[in-house]
Amino acid sequence: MRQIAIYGKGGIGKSTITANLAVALAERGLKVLQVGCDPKHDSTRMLLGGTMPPTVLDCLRERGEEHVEAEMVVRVGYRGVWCVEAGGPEPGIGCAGRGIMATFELLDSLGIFDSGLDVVLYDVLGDVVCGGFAVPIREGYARETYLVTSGELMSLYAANNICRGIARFANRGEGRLGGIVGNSRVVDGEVELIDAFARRLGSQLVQFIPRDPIVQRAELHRQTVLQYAPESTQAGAYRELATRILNNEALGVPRPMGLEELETLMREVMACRGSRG
Amino acid sequence: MPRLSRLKFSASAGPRIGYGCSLSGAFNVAGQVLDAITVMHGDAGCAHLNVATHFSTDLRSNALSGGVSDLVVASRLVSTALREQDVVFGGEDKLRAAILEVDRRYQPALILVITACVAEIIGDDLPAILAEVRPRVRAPVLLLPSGGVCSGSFATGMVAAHQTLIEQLVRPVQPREERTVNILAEKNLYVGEEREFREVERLLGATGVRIRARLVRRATVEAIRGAGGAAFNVLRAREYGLDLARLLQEMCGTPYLDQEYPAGRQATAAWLAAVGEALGLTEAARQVVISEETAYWRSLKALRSDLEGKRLVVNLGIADPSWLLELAADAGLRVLKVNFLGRPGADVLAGAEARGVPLAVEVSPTEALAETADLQPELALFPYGQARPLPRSAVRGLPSLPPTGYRTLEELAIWARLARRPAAEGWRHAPGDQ
Repeated sequence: MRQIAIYGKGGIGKSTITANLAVALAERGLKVLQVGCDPKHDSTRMLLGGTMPPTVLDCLRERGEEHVEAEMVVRVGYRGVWCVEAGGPEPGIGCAGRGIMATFELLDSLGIFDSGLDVVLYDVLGDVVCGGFAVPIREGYARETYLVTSGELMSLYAANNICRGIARFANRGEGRLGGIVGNSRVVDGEVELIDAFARRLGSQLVQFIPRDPIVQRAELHRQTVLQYAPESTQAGAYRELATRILNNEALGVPRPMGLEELETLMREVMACRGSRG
Repeated sequence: MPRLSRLKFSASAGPRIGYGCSLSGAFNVAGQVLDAITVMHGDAGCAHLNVATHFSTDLRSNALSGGVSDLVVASRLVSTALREQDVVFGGEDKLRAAILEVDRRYQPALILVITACVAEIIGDDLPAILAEVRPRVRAPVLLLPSGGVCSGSFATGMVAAHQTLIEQLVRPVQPREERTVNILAEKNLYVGEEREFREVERLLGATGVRIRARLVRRATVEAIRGAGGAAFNVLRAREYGLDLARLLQEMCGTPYLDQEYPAGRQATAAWLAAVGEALGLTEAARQVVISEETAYWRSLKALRSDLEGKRLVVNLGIADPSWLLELAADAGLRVLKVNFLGRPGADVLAGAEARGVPLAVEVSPTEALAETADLQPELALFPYGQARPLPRSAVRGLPSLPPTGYRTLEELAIWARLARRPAAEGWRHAPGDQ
């Protein structure tokens, strides 16, 4: 079973990429589970036709741990992808990180990870803000992590920051960085920038996903791109991402940099483009 | 959540800052309000440990005082017993429910809310919840600054709880009632505390002084409210009490004596004279001192025959040995050596040096034991909990705090009992540290 964590800055497109990746993997006949690790619980929404069923923590709160069954927390989405949402407290109250820990403990105790799955995808909230959100890479769940970023400074900075967490936990377990997934925001020199960023981390740009209005249209129809426009170029990009991830064996411990170094890197890439242009 | 940063501490409180957590410090005060209920917002484990500590102290205190002490602290604590689910979703609902239920079931005169680490970590909005429930309950509800280790130590929690109760409850009373005092900052976790208090109460009573309020130990809300009417404030422990005395002086204009409970003949005479002078009872205090000293010497005479001329070695941490050296001198004991296991304050050292006995500082427990064995005194004193049997000496583990007032004679009576044992049978360890 491959267990893969997807991290990245909030709003960068993690859930869209993860859901489309899940479908692309399912199209290959793989049994896929997508776990949304964000209190907003909207990771699997496009797989479920726009619905947002009760989360693991909803069930835990309403029924108590002893009375939660697997079928209450797992929903089957498009192409048979299993969907689980951790959920969390209302904004501004409680501890969402502890909620992630409680979710994983419950999923473990329900035996969900032992259900003949081929791939588990963890779609994790913006940043490794506390120990709770590090559980997917800390507790031996995901062996490989992919970071989604655009060419914007803050997006790269967030990805770099997550690398600190990956590097920290790499010393304790098997969690490694699989690579960077570029999600275009149509920034000048974006591919070169993300590629240089990945190399500086000691990793690789696995796939660059272009920006395409079809993503928005698919969302308005409450579907993944692979369902809404299976023959589109964008759908092809997601399928290519699935292929590259499945074939990826270059897992490593990243070397995160400081903000100064990151800004210098960006200037260097832009200067290099300028001299070429 | 009220923050602790505005609180000031006496320099002498410094060494203790950092021990324990603010929750325990706050409960050490809150649990002493007899007609209040404390709601501890946190996990049940914190409540369990605090109850166990106070219950154990009360039991031992009860045994020491012949069964007249009560076991009350533990019964006035309610925990919101937060569980993992509350950590994830927030514990505010449980706190709200607990306050409402406590008010309905127990109808306390006051509800005190204190918080453990977990409530602080998840960021429950305590002031908002309290503001919301106050109109719905009969009892006033006070939030004592705490928050476990997130908001400071035992000392910070204790001082903040005292300060909050004083600021929120005590009001100036004019005119202040003559010949009355409040007792500030008693040591609520000391098993002998009630016994020490009774000695102070006895001496003050003989002088014609009534105790108006104890802040805060075994006090009702009404007694705390009335503390502003006392003519004078007396400190049990300077370490924490000085800040409270200053606060009360600021709020109510009440003067105070900047001294701790006295230990021994000379210190007690000076203390009584100072209290008497402050309350216009100089002559009454003088009469009490004469009467007490007469009784002291009469009792001492009976003990002296067992002790006179015998040799004594004193080992202690950093505490002031004045009362021990006074007892030794009064009983005719010869002090061979005073070993401090740490480095006491300059005033303590100077006081000991003035008595002309050989001193050493920062002596390790092993060295102290070896030297004491070599000196072969008839009687050897060790700090609380560190006494070990010696082949040729009687050994006594000292109480962790000095006896108050003229109760030092009770310690001397133990020494005399040890000294009466035949030397041929070997001196024995007196196991009772207290």
